[in-house]
Parts: sequence; C-alpha cells; structure tokens
Amino acid sequence: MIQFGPTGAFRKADVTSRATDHAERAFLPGDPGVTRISDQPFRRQRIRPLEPAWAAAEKARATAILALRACHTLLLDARERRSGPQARVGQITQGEAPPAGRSLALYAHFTPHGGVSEMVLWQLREYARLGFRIIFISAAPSIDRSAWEEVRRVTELVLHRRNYGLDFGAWSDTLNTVGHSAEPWDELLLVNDSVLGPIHPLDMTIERMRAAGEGLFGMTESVQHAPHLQSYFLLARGVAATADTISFLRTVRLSASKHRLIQSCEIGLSRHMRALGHQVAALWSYAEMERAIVASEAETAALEAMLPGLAKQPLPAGPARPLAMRRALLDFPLNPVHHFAGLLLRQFAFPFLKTELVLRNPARSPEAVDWRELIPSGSPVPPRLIADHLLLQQQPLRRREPSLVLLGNGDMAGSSSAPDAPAGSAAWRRRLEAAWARRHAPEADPAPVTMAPSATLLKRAARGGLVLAFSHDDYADNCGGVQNVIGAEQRSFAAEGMGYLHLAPARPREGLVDPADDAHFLVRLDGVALGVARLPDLLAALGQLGQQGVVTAGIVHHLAGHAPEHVLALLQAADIRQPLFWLHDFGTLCQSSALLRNDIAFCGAPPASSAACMVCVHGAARAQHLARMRDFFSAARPTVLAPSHFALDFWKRHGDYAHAEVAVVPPARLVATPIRLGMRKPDRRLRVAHLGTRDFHKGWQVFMALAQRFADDPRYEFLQLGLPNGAPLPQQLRSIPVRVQPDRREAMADAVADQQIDIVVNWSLCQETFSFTVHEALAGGAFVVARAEAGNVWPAITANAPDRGIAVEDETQLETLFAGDRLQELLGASPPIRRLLLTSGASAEWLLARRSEGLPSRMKQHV
Amino acid sequence: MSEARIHCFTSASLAYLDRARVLGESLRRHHPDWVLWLCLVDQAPSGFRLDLTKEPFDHVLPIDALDIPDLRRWMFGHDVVELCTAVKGPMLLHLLSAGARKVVYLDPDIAVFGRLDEIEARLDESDLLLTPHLLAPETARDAILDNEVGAMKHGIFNLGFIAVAASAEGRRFAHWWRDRLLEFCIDDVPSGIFTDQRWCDHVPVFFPGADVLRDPGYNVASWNLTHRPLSIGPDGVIRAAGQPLRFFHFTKFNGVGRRMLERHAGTDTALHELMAWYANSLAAQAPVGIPPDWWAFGRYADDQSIPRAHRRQYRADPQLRERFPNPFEAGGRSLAAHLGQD
Repeated sequence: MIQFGPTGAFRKADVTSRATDHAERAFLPGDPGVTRISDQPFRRQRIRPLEPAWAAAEKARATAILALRACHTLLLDARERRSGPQARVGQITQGEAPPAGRSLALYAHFTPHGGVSEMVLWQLREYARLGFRIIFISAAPSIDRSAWEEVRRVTELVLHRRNYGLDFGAWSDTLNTVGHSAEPWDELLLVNDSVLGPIHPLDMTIERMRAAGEGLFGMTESVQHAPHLQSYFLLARGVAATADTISFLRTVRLSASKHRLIQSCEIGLSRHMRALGHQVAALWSYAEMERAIVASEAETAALEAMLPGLAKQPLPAGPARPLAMRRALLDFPLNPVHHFAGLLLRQFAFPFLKTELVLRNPARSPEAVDWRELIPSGSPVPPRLIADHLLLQQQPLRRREPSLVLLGNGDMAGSSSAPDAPAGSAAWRRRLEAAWARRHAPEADPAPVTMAPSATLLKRAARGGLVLAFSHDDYADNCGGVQNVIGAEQRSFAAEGMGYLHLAPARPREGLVDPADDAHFLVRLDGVALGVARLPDLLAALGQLGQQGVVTAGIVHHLAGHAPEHVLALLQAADIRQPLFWLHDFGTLCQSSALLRNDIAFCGAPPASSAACMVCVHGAARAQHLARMRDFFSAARPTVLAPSHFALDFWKRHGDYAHAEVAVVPPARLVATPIRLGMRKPDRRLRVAHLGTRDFHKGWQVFMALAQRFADDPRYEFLQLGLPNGAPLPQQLRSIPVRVQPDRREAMADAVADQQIDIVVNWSLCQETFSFTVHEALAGGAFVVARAEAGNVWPAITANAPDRGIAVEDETQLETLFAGDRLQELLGASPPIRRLLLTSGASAEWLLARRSEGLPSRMKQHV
Repeated sequence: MSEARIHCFTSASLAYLDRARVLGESLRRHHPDWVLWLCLVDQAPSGFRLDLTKEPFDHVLPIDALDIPDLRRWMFGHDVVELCTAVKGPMLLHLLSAGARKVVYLDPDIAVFGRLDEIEARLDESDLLLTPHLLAPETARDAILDNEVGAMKHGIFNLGFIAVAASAEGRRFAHWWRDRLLEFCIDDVPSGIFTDQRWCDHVPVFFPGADVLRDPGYNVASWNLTHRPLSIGPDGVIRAAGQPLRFFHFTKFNGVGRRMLERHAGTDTALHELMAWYANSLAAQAPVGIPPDWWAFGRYADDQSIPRAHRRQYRADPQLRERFPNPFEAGGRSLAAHLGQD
C-alpha cells in the first residue's frame, strides 16, 4: 500500500493500470510523443538574502576553502588532460555479439568495488534486443572473469578504464579510443547503470523516440541551471545528430568536478545540439510533470510530504489550491527523477528508478524508503534482481544497522548492544539487565580463514606506500562516526596514491582479547574486502613489506576486539616505529569505550580499584585492561590524535600513558555561510528533533519523555532524523530516515535544513569526544538544547555558534525550558543560518600537513 | 596468630557459601591485610570439598572446632539461622583467646564497598562497636511501623556487624555474649528474644566502653535506605547520605529483602546497580556440588527434614535431651521416632 497524506492515496495495484493508460494516451497517432525542451530557463534557485552580520573573516575562510577545492580539481583536470584518454583505458576485449546494424549503444558501468549485477546484464540484453550494438565501458576497480564473460556474450566490445569524468568520461574516452566513432551511425544510445530497472518495458520508450524523427532525445527534462535532457538515457537519432553528438563527446572538456560535468557535459550537450539546430526533446517535459503534480491532490500531498517548506504559506484548499501549488513550484528547480519519481512511475510508465534515490535518497522521499512498493507487478526486472544490484553497489560499503555494532559510545562510534526500552526508568533497567546478561552470552565462532595475504599482492596495491590501520570493526560494513572517519581517511590516502590496509577483528568484541587467542582479522585493502586472515600469515606478509620499506604509516583507531600485543607485533613487523593512535572514544581507559558504568551512566573513569568499578559489569576486566594498554603505549610510544581538546584533556587526566606527541585533529569543522534560512511562519509548530539513532546513551529516552510530556502542546512537533530502527517510535514522534555515509557526510545537516528543524535536543549521556550530531545540527541551522556535561557538545556550540544553543543541567531544567517561553525568545534572538560541515581526511590530512610543514614525517621515523 | 592484624570472621552454612565468598572477595579488595575467617556451620556433602586455596578466607573453622559443650544436642536445638548466629559468641571468644587484638564480625550477606579504617581506629578507644538499625527518627507512619517498631522487636542494633577489642571490657563482653548465645539464641520475638540482637540492647548499659558507629556509610540496608540515598560519583566512590558507603547489608536478598530494596530503590539507578552486581556476584560464586537446600544439620540420619517443632520440643524438654543424646539419629529408638516422624 502506498499512501500519501490525508488528501490522497495510491494503491499498488493502481500503479500499473494507470501508468499504462497514461502512456498509451500520451502516444496517439499524430502526437509527436516527445516535447522539445523549453527555450528559457524559468526556474531560479530560491536564494536567501545575505546575512548582514556575516563576519568577513568567516566569509574569507569559506572562500578560501572553496578556492582550495577548485584548485585541487584544476590540478587533477590538468593532469588528466596531459595523460589523455588512452592512459585511462586499460583492457579492451572483443565481445561475442555480431556487429549488425547502425545503432550503437555506449553503456557506462561503475560499481565502487567491482562486479556486474544480473540487472546490468539484463539491461544489456534488453538494449541488444532493441537493436543496439553495445560497447560496455566499466570503471569498476575489478571484474571477475565469469562476469566479464557474461558481458562479452551480449556486447561487441568491452572496455575497462580508470574512472574520470563519470559517464560522460566513459563515453568520451571510448569514442576517442575505439574506431567506432569514425563510422556513420543512425542511432547512438548513451546509457549507464545509474538507473534501476526497467520496471516498465522499454519498447514503448524507444518506439516513441524513434517515431519523433531525428535529433537528441531523453526521457526527462530538467530545468536545474538550464533546461536540458537528463543524461542517464540519451538517444541521438539520424546520421547528422549522431555525428554531432559524437563530435561533442570527443571534444568535451572532462573534469573531476561533478558540478563542472553537469554544466559542460550534461547541460552543454543539450545546448550544443540545439545550437546546431537539432531537435532536442524529452518524453516527459518538466512542464508536463509539473502539470500532473498540480492536477492531482494526491501527488501534491506526496510532494508536500517530501518538501515541507514547499510553499511560503500553507496551500489553500479548494479551487485556489492548484494555482497556489503552481506558484510555489516556480521557486523550485526540482530533480524530476528524484522529486517526481512516484509520479513518473504511477502516471507515465517511466521505466526506471534512479539508484541514487534508493541508495541515498537526497530528496528524502518517503516513497524511496519503501522502493519495492513503487515496483509494479509484472516489472520486467523483478525486485529481487534490483535488490541484488543494490547490494553490489553497497558492497563492501553495505551499512549494517547500528544495533549490531558492539561499541557503545558517543558520536564517534556506533551504539551499544541492548535494545532500548520505552521512556522512563524501564529503559535503563532493561539496559542494566542486558549488560550483565551479556557476560554469559556465548561468543560467536570466529569467521573462518579465507585468505593468506601475500606481500606481493599488498605491495602491488601499495603504489605510493602502504598505510596499515586497525580498528574495532569493518568500517565499510558498519555505520558510525568512527567508521565514516576511517572511510574518509582511506579515500584521502587513495587520492595521494597510497594503499590502505585495514585490519579489523573477525569477531568484534567489546574489550581486549587474550593474546593467546588464535586471532583472525578481516582484511580490507583500499576499501575492498580481501577476506579473513590469521595473525601468523599477516606477520609474515607485513614482515616482508617492512623489510622493503613499503609500509609508510601505522594508524590505530581502536583496539577493541584485538589483543594489543598482536597489534604491536604487526606494527613492529611492518617496521612502524611511531604509529598514530586515535582517541575517538575512551576505549583506552576501559572496555566500555563510552565510559558508561553498567551501560547506563557516565562513570568519569575513576580508579580501577574504586567501588564504582567494583559494581560495574566492565569493572572486573578494567585493571588488566589498563595494564595491557599501558604496556602497549610504552612499547609503541605513538602520536596521539584527539578529535577535540576536551577528549585530549580528559585522556591525559585519566590515562597516564606513554606517548611521543599529541595533536587535536577535528574530523569535521563548521564554516558559516551567508545562507540565511527563512524565519519560521508564526503558525508553524516548532520542529524539535533528535538526531541519530534511537539509542539510550544518546538520550533517546529523555527525548521521548519530552515528546510525550509535550505531546498536546500546540507549540511543538517532535521528530527523529536518522536510521529508523532501534527503540519503537511512539505516536507523538515522526521519523525522517537519514543515513550518513562516507560519500554523504552532509546528509544529516541537509536533512536538518530541509526539514526546517528549529531545535535539536542533544542529551548524550556520555562525554562526547567530538559530537557529529551537534555539528550537523548547527550546520543545518538548528538551535541546540544540550546537556551541559556532555564532553565536547557544549564547547562545540560555544566555539561555532554561541547564540545558537543553550546548556541545560538536568531533565527537570529541560522540561522547564520547554514549558516556558524562553526557548521561543532565544530562537527569535538568533536567526538561523546554514553552515558548511567540512569533513577532514583524518590521519591522512594530518600526516600530509606534517609533511608539507617540512617537519620530519613521523610516518616512517625510526626511533 | 598475628595479633596486630584485624581478624574478621563470618559464619555460614554451605548454602550461604556464595554470600560468604562475595563478602570475602569484597573485603579482600579493600583490606587485603585483614585475616579472614569463615566459621562453617555445616558439613560438606559427599563429593564436595572446600578448597581453601581458592577461597577468599585465610581460615575455615568448622563448628566442631569451637569449644562448645555437648555440641550435637546444642546444635539440634537451633534452626540454621539461629545456629549460624549462636556460633558468633564462641567464635569471637575463640579468636580473642587465640591472641587477636581486634575482631570484626560481618554477616555473610554483607558486601564491603570501602575501607573500614575507622573501625580499626575506633577500637583503640572503644571496647566494642555497634551499628544501630536506625540513625534518625522516621516521619512517615509506614516507616515508623516498619522500621522503628521493627527495631524494637528485633533489636536496636543490627548484629550483622560487631567489632570487639581485646581489652578487658571487650573480653568481658565476649564471655557474656557467648554465654547468652549458647543458651538463648533463638527467634522468639514474642518472648523478647531475637537471636543475638535483642541481647545487645543491654550493651550500652552493661558495657560503658561500647560505642555506636553513627556514620551512615556503615551497614546500609533496606531498613534505613529511606534516610541513606545512594549515589556514585565520578571519583568512583559510592555514597550513602553523602558519606562513602562502607558496607551494604543484602538481608534476605533472594526473598523479601530484595523486594524491600526494590521498593526503596524506585528510579535510583545506583541501588539497582548494586543489586544487579550482587545478584550476578552470587551467581558467579555459587558453589558447585552443593544440593539445593543443603544443611548437614537440617535432616535426620534417614534424610528426613527436621521440623522446627522438634527442635523447639527438644530444646525445651530436659528429659528429651537426656533420653536422646544423639537427636539426629533415625530409627526405632530415635528422637524422630519418638516425636512421630517414623
């Protein structure tokens, strides 16, 4: 069942019949079937007035950052231009499909970690059935032999190339490399694997385009920046149009910047073809989609659910509503395949669903969360194949739900193990019971050994050096702050040409493991899972690399689940004398890395001999934990990196561990922008949100109690922005699914802004070492109500936006604050602005900065 | 015997060995220098062996090692609680006679959460130390009935703790207490006797050198929790009414005592944490190989349970004691047969 708001409802059974009806109606004899894209851009991005009080210094900082990014892109582009397309294209393999006909399809393929899904093979066979000779261009890091053979069977040529310039880069490099560009073609189809499906047959789509004559055709028109055809599916028809398209692609300037590619390639192609006098038309014009939205109350309601701030004023009821809706839409250049996805599938028999919509959902479409509901019965590609394809896209970056992450911690780690109960004392009671019960839970068997790492393999991947890193779990397979930091770090090293070997315990655990255990490690190289390896095999491989001086840095993000003695041995084998050690949390001080006594209360890291440790479920192991940590630090003498001054000071006060030097390296920072968010309409309730998972130690139960206490207060509306799992959601709360991933680090900040969140309640029970959620709240323009004693939470507010937060001592004060009028006064006194959340490359950034300072690099310092 | 060190003892049957072990472990954590004794009021079932090297106690003294006349007849006159209490007097005297300068008794269902240095220091000035059930008057009617009236029935002082110096007055107390407990350590509240506790209501008068520990951190239990809320600070110290918690008395923890604690605890996380820890500690320290409800002196020779009435009759009737010198026997001419248990 698909249901949208109070004004309309769609039944899944309706989807197919309505879509087919509409599609058939749209293609009547004499009807051109396509609509030329509009002459003038008629949408402007709604720009907020400049914040008058915007400080010049911050403006300069933001400008400098943007300039730096631009410089970086320019350098990359210059390097790529010098090397040319031949340098990017690696293997070219002849396919088995016979070269028959004058219709050519260039299929651009990319998966972050290799493989070709069955859905992609299905699409290839479909394009072949529709009469196209196919060149398959993959930028996946690797493709196994069986998949390669499958692709060869349905294609004429298979290219493997380095990713640069996205799909336009693939098409351009192909046309500049193979001889096909010299032939005259009747049709040139430019497609890629960024769409899921087809979920309606493609026959009608192609037939309509072929019936429209010559020119350049696309499925949907976008009016973002300028009217243009969206590039996931483009068909050039006629010898002249095809030749001009090929000419454009062969000469277009590629870039590493997605923004530039959109401007120069996607928009540029439509502009170029129109300038040459070709017909440039879409099956579904922006205006047509817009009309369909305005004409349907249900579709209007669906769009309103996606865009709460759609209209400046609430849309009126009755006959004036369509006009008001149309006026409201003028302020938005929306992305048709995201914002109109439901409409397209329901009413236009649109054959695809954008992968990005399902995987990342940047439009925060409620429909995309239940994407299976959008697939009509009788879809040519069944949902099972689509799900398999999505899995391949996510592998190995597939995100496991946080409840499976063992560490309980502040923002910098995932959540703890016990399911949280409803608000009130029941929550901590269940957590307390679960903490003690966990002691008797049987341990899972370690993952079986699947590989023996070879020094040759690792060295080949090392290129400009190999970084050896350790953490408590597989960062690509789990969700959390630490994991995102490691992901960013890996990519930063990759950008510098350095390999990144990450070792995680094959059986994640809360504390340290016995050094006598037969240790198994999950091995991931440059983000790709290699398998499970044993300690002796790793020692041997790293020993060889160490002798050859290949391993240039060692980084310890976390020791949970490891034996520090093993980690030390591996570092020494690799000849790393002064590793980096991150204080993402306080796992060096206790196996409860968030320092939660009995998993319910922050303990403050008292002496291990204290009564508090005596009654704590983590206390029995603490003395030995500290002793082993002390031994590790004494032997490794690492450089200690902390995400905040608070974290470093706390650690120094309670740790007393040997180390070489220390540094504070925030994993992200805020830069104010001139984007002033709109003031709340007086009749709109204040939107109060909890950011992140529904975890006890993140204060979920306090937020829930607050929502229940003020459920009938017309001043407030309560929401949760984050993964929609964990504790059950009470009626008073609305959940907005948000997933922060390594490549979408700003997702939460964007959601805060898009959902027009006025207040974020941050009631973390731990002492946060950084607190991403507070930074995200401020970046999104929210006012933060924070628990006063929550580590870096309040320092982060005072450092970045002192007028955009208030510290509250306890839950009684919190309730008093919401009961009174002070909150409204505070909000009125400080208008919200957006801030840039700039994430760093963590260790990579720090190490490279040290290099550039000319200081002796610690990456390979022998002491 | 090392005279300079504090000697601390508890008494228990094997069914309470888990509690005694938790007491011993918690005491060792804070006072590794003390000499710990377990007076074992029991005999091990076949197949079970108490391995002293694995126990937190330095010494385990069986009840028959104490100088108690006519032991079997005397033991038969008590149920398990009465007997484990009654041995406290002879055990105290045993340790003082052996040369101990300061002796502390703690109930096995106590756990120690902080150092007890004040006890050691106060025994330099006082002959013996007691902790009262209550330090301040109750105000609520229910609390008055539960706690103040309860203390008048069961004794002003809680004898889960007593500390005695080897002074002349301390020794005089030990002799007096031993004598009373050998003869009158029964649970007979209507008659004004509740094991060893009501006797100690006389102590402030009979022994002027006795002192009362008024620190709220000592002997916190369900009967005084209303005045001693618990908290756990970032310094790792657990506090009762703002003072460091020294020891907590988990009376009847597997029954009504735990329900009482939970009633007092409400949303107090600290007390719940203590209870969770204690419950898990007991589970971890449970002896393996002890049958449920085991007490060697709780059954006749034919394994039939000894009714409390038999003990009372035997205790009250000198002729029965004379006629049945070994009351635990079973068979035709036994006390059990005589009292109708065959």
